[in-house]
Amino acid sequence: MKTTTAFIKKEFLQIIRDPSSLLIAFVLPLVLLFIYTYGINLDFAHVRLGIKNDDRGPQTADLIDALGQNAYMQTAFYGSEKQMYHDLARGKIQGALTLPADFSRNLAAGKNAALLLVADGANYTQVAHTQNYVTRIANGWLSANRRQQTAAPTVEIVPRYLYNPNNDGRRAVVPSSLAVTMTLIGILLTALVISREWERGTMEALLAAGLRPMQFIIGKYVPYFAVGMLSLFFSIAVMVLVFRLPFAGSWGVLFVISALFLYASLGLGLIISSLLRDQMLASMAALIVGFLPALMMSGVVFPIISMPPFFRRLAWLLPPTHYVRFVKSEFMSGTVWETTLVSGAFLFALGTLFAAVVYKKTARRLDD
Amino acid sequence: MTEFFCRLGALIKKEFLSILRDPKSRIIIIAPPLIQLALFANILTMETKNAVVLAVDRSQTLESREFIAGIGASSWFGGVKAAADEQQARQALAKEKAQAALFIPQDFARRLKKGENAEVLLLLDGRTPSAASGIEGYISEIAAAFDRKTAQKIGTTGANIDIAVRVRYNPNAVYQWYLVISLIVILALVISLMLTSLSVARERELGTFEQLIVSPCTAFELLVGKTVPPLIIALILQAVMTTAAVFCFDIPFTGSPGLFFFASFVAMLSLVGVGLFISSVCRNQQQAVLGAFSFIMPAVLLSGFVSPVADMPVALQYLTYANPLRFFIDIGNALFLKDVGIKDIADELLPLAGIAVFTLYFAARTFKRNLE
Amino acid sequence: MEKTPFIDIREIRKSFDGGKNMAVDCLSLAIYKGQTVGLIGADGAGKSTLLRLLAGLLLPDGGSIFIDGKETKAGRKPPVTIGYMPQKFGLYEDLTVRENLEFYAALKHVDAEFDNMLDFAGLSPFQNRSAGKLSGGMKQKLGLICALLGNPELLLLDEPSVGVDPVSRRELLKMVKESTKGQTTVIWSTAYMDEAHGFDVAAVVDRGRTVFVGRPTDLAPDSRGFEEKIIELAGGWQKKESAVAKKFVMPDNSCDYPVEALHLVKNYGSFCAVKDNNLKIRKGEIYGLLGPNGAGKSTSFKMMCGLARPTSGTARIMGIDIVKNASAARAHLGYMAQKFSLYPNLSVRQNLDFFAGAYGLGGHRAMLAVGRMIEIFGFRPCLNDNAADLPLGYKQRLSLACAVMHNPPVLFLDEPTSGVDVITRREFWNHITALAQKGVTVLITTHFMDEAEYCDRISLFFRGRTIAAGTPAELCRQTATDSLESAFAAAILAQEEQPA
Repeated sequence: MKTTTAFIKKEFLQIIRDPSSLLIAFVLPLVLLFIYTYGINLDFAHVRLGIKNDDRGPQTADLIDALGQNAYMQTAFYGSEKQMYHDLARGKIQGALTLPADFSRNLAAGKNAALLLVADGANYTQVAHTQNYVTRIANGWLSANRRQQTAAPTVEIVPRYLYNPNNDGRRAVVPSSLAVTMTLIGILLTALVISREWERGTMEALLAAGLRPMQFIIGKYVPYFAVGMLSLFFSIAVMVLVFRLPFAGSWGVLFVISALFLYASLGLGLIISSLLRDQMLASMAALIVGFLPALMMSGVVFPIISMPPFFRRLAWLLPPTHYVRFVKSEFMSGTVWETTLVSGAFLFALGTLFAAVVYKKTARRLDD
Repeated sequence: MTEFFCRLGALIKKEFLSILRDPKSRIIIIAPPLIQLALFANILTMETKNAVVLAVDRSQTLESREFIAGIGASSWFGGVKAAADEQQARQALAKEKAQAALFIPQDFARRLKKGENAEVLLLLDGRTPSAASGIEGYISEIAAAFDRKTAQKIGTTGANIDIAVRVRYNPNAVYQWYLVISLIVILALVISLMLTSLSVARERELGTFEQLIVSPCTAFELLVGKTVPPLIIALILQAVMTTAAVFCFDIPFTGSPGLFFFASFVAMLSLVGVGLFISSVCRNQQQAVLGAFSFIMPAVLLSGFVSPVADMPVALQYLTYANPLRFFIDIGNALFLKDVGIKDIADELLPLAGIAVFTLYFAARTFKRNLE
Repeated sequence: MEKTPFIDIREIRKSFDGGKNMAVDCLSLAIYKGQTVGLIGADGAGKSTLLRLLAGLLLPDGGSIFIDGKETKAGRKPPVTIGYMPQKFGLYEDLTVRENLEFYAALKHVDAEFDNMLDFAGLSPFQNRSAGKLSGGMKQKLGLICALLGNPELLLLDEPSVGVDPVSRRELLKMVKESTKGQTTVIWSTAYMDEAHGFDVAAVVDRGRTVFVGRPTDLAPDSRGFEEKIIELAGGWQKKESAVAKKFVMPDNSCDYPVEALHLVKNYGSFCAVKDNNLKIRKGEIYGLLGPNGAGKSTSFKMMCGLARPTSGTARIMGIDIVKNASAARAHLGYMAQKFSLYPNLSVRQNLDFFAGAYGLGGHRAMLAVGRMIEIFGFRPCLNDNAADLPLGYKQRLSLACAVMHNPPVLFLDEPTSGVDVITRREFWNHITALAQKGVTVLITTHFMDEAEYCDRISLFFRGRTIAAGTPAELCRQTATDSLESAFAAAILAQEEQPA
């Protein structure tokens, strides 16, 4: 016991002495939190729309006003189509709208009228938004103008967003950032910790001093686990107290599942560290199995449901995927016991499997 | 002059050998970018697909069934399932068994027949906001199509606006095109940063950095020797990924390959510069890796890949001027899909060149200062 | 000695890389309680492997080890307490001196009087300094007290005196003697023959077997003779014409003082590491820089070859100012680093190719130079081996080859023989003296006093200043001593009595 505590203390001292680990544990999460809060925005996009109006009719003035008054749209007017498309190519505008000469004439005659909207496919994130804004405004303008006419009955969709009444993207993306920071701490900080002991010759001294593999493993898990949990408390405190993010779930459940997630991530990092004694290879591996899946495949940005079925199942084998789903629910809807228990059990099983591999791979002798 | 090239040649060759000699590191450098490109390009999308919709049909009429059938027939959804009541539907939503629930009121058909508008309630899962708004959009379109049919039946053919949407440079609006081009750029960042950020720190730990300093090699030669090999490796990998984009993902390459190559060269130079900058300020490899990660994460998020730079707060927008990825993604998309000239990408190219000059100059200075 | 041996090693075998590399080959050795055994042998002879087998860090392929009459078995605790000090210290560089000591004490379940131990090692004033910032000698002392924790019955020291100055080495030896009080059995592997000559027993290992076990005085009455005997036992060494020097093309130069130091000063903050150092080294001279660890000789050395920027003053190589025109000055320089820094994952040939290129040799000239080095040093069999996998002696040779390949008129050698065995050292000095005769100017730092005698002139550094300079004979005369080592100690003692 005394040995283990001494080992843990040593690891702590090493963490504290190296400013780069504190950077990863406390500064980077803060930076990411800011970025997720202010820099990532999937709800709306500011669009500059080029308009070429060939219809000189008085009615279209309303429509063009309406387009310009939209909070997210800026309009620019063009006399020549060529110029407009040239600006589209150069990225000065993201959409180009043409009102044909017969637009209001057709409408007045009770015929369908056409609009041509050309969006810039090279700025893909804005295409859907542009299309959406123009369609809504045009239809709104039409129904306002049609009040007088007799219209067919319509089905009105009344959307209601559960757990997030304004469908605010931030409320989902900010808690998800915990998955990314915890992965960074779990995998990145630990990926080099065993290879360093080998390179500096301290592994030999530890083995000679009779340190047992179990003590070694506990000594490696506990400090990084503690740092990870501290970083988690810190991030959550900033989220709730500074960013005023509502929390609907139970703190106890949040910490238990977060601990299990950290347990699994640490296992992965320590496996990399015990298998790859070359620091460069270890860091590459950490990047490949740690960072990219956590960012791309966990559902933080890209919805998992949209993946092909096989990969959807694959994504559920990754710890961050479980954690992202859990943490979003915990913040927004409160504990959903069914999925929480499944994820918790999975993370625990995976973490224990990883710990067993680390135990198996820990050297007992120099030529292991 | 010949000595200059001898020394440079030796430095470059040494760097190549230490990166690529070991088969393990060859695999770990070359395979993952290609695998990840193939994997991510095929599975990631911002669009909402496969969502399951629950329908609570209290109307149970021809009309309501037709409306629901419209959803079932659409290719956007994974299926429509009937639910008994609201409570059951809410539970399914909570457990993410379904992504949306539609409630058709009892008077649905009756109101339509009377010529009144009918309201349909759509419950969506706010925990996945982008999927929720995607689903809402789809259902609205289905409702609009339903309305047109109703109008035809009644015979009131009111005038409508047909908005013809053309997505220029990506006529079928394939998200994959944008994704693949952006992924190529992101992976290029990851490769070049990993190759360079450890290189100086590693030599410092091995003690070979002293050997380099004592040799007649100048700081400039050391810099070029450290820059060229990762630059070439990253450019080759990028060329392979670009070829894959054209032939495997059928993305048309409409721009000028020469300009694309030149722009990539400038962009890679800035990425390598950032890597060497990190490497030269770090004491050991652990710090270099952590430094590289601390750069990659925000760089990817603030590149415009996930959401447009123009929508960020002004302060963050200024910050993105230090992010080569932001400009590289723009250039990649512009040169790939649009046939633009060098003047049109000058706004992106100049900041990239600026970043390259600044970081490389700084790295070279630390090399010199390291002569301490 | 009738009693049973404390350690009885019977026909032990250990090989690496799947049997290709036989490190210990049917080695038998008996050691009695309380003895201090010097383990001597060439690099790769199996000394470290033997110590690691005893410490239980490696399992033998065959044979058995009995300690205190009990056989050691895998997975069981050793029958006696063992203190082991590995070659690479095993210290945590980012932990302080005291934290390192406390950590190892806890690992071994020992309650120790840390203050006493730190006092004993003379480390008390530095107990809050991080271990990475200690000088070589202090690191070794710290490593030693860590190994001494819990008063082990068996103390295994793997080359504890590598890279340590003579004064610290004496202290290290004294520390072991005092703390063991004749009760502890000590096995001490070393490359210093004078050190080994003072032990109770010398065990000479060659190619994985013992070739001599017995009292050192039985071999030869003094350490010089002892060294000759050891060389004989390890296969012998014949002085022959140095091939390096023979093939060396001395560039034309008329520079009388190829290396000059002019008022070199180096301050680290308020600490003055080097105070006004002046040197003029004649062409063809071998000039030695000596002094305790941390006395400023390394800093001076580094400033003179351009590795460190002087706070003031400058140095000239072949008359070219190293501060103002570094690249041109360095072109005349051959450099050998302390740790023989080579690219570990490049092969021998690739390392040679690289250094040829780095010194501006191109195409045909590079090919000739590399070919010459391969021939001279006999690298052909290991051309494609990674530098990391070479035995230390080969690394040292490769490092020398890389330094002289471009025929530099000036050689800077930073502890070029530390950790290397006697025969390799002899060979090395044969090359160096022959090169000097051809006109190469050599600046060298070393901790081997017998090596200092090869030098034409010596500067003795202490607390940032040269406290004595001259030929070895002059130094002895000045201090009225009969050996350089005593002269060294006497000069330092004289300085210590004055306030710093």
